[in-house]
Parts: sequence; structure tokens; C-alpha cells
Amino acid sequence: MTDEELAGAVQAGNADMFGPLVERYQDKLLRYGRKFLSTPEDIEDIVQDVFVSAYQNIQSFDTAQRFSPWIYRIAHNAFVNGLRRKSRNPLVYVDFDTFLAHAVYDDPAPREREQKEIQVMLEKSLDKLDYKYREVLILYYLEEMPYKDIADILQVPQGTVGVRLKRAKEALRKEFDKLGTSYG
Amino acid sequence: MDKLQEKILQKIREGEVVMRPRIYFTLRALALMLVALAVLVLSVFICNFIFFTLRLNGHESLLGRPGGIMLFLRFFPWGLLAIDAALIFLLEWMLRSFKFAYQKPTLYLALALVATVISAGFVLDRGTPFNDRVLMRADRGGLPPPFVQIYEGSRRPLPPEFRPVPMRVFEVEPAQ
Repeated sequence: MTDEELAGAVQAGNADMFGPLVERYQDKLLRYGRKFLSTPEDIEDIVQDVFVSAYQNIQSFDTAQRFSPWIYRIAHNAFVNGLRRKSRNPLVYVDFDTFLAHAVYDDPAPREREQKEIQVMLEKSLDKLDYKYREVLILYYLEEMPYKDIADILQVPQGTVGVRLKRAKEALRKEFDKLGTSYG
Repeated sequence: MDKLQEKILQKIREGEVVMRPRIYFTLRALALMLVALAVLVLSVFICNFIFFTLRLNGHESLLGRPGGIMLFLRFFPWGLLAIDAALIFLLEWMLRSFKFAYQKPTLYLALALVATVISAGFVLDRGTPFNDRVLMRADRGGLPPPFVQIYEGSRRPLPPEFRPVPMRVFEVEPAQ
């Protein structure tokens, strides 16, 4: 069964079908959470809250759409809130990237080429990046999502995803160069 | 079965976690749209009222006089404009939770809202007798508060030194 079919069955009242959805997404969400927070207990608690919230709100999910961006959107909000609680910075910023239209060009070829290089950089320098750059890198290079899904998760225009990704890569390379190590 | 999965399913079975009904989300979306619509109507009304006060008090005539722009800016109802700008900002923030809105760049959506509010406000004042009728009703005491105070307070004539001087034409010389 697909995620969407499972979600449809849960909506129809078969609560046990929520189990396979938890099974499919818990590792992904734990991995996603580890990129935001460092305490395993906090991450597990938040992931549990994400599933609880997903179950409570599952009737708002449109089964004609993909389930993955929907649950990642809940997780994104939960982790950003978790980060906000931990951080001294209020994490409220005026996002100029969303102001104007940017050309959308989601080509998987450069991603495949850069995947290994970026993943190595992410492992070493991710925590030094601003969270708005962190999340877009994680979703694109680690979760391998298309621009459209990332735009739905972050609730920004697709062009903004491209611009933010470009800036995030530049920031990541800068941080990585500071460490003075090569990725090879 | 995994610990986390079991924990969540147990909470569901014991009724500790309950699914919200579909109607809850329908009503919530409807309520949000109604509030957004109310904010839009209010901001159009305020914009229309700004045009009305400018017309009623003759402030627009200042623009045709030397140094009139400075006077026009001095007597412009900036307070109302600030309230309207805040309402448009609130409207944009509310709409951004809808897919049709967050897919658009923030600036474009803001410009579309500003253009909608200004054009609707202008048409309401200049294209319909709405404000004149409401003012007449206010003068007759037939308006409920707070509209009576709002419309009674719309008369903000220029200080005497800035008023246009009425002149009578006695003679017109024929063109040479």
C-alpha cells in the first residue's frame, strides 16, 4: 500500500494502519531531527509529537496529494519550534528570498554529481549554518526531495528553494573551507 | 514492533490521542477565509474613507497650487493610512497559510493586495454615492455608533489661511 492509501485507511477509521506509516517515517524524521537538534531525547520526543500531531490532523490531509511533504511540514514546524526553544536567537527573520520571483530549474543531474561532496560537507559543517540553509540542504541532498515538495514543506515559492539552495551551498563551502579539510 | 510505533498506537487505542473530525478543518479554513474577507472589506472601507475625506475637505485641490504638495502631505490622514497598511500586512500574513498565496513571491502578493484595496476604495468613493449617502444619514442622526462618529469626524477643513479664496469673475476680456 502507498503512504496515501494508508493515510486514507486511517481517515476511514482503521487506526492500525497508522502503524506502518510510523514505521516508514520514523527513521527519516529522526535523521531529519538530528540535523536540527543534538540531544537524542529531545529529537525522539519531538518525533513522537510529530506522529501524534499527524494522527490528530490526518483528516486535513488530501489523499490526492503526496503524504511525504505533508508529514515533513509538521516535522519542520516541530523542529523549528524545538530549535527556537533551545536557541537564544528568536529565529524570526524577514525572508527577502521570498520577495521576488526566481527562475525554477530543478535539474537532478547536478544533484547526483554533487551528492557525495555535499554529504561529506554536511556531516562536518552543517551545525555552523543558519537553520534556513540547513533545512533546504537536508531536504534536497539527504532526503532527495524535488523543489516542489521542499517548497510545500517550507511554504515558500519554488524559485526561493533554488535561490536558498544556491546560497546554502556557498555558505556550506565557506564553512567547510574554514575547517581546512578536503572531502575526498 | 518498534517501541515508538507501539507507544503511539497504544495512545491511540487508549483514546489518549484522538483524531480531529474533517468538519473541524473545514470550519477552521472557512473561519480563516471569513476573517480574511472581513479584514479585506475593512481595509477597502478605510481606503475609501481616505479618498472621501480628501474629496470632502477639498484637500486634493491643494495639489494644483504652488507648494500644495507639502500642504497636501501635511493634512493627509496618515493615521488612517497606517491602520490600512497594518490591515494589508495582516491579510498577507493570514493568506500565506494557503497554497495559492505561499507559491507567490511575497512582494507580488503584497502589491496585488495594495492594488485591490486602492482600486476598490477609489471606485467605492468616486463611482458610487455610498459615502455621500452615509454622511447624509450621519447628519440626520440615523447612523449607529461608531459610524456616526467616523463620518461626523470626516469634516476636517483646512485652516483658514490655507483655504482657497472664493473669487467672482466680473469681466472677461475678449481674446485678442
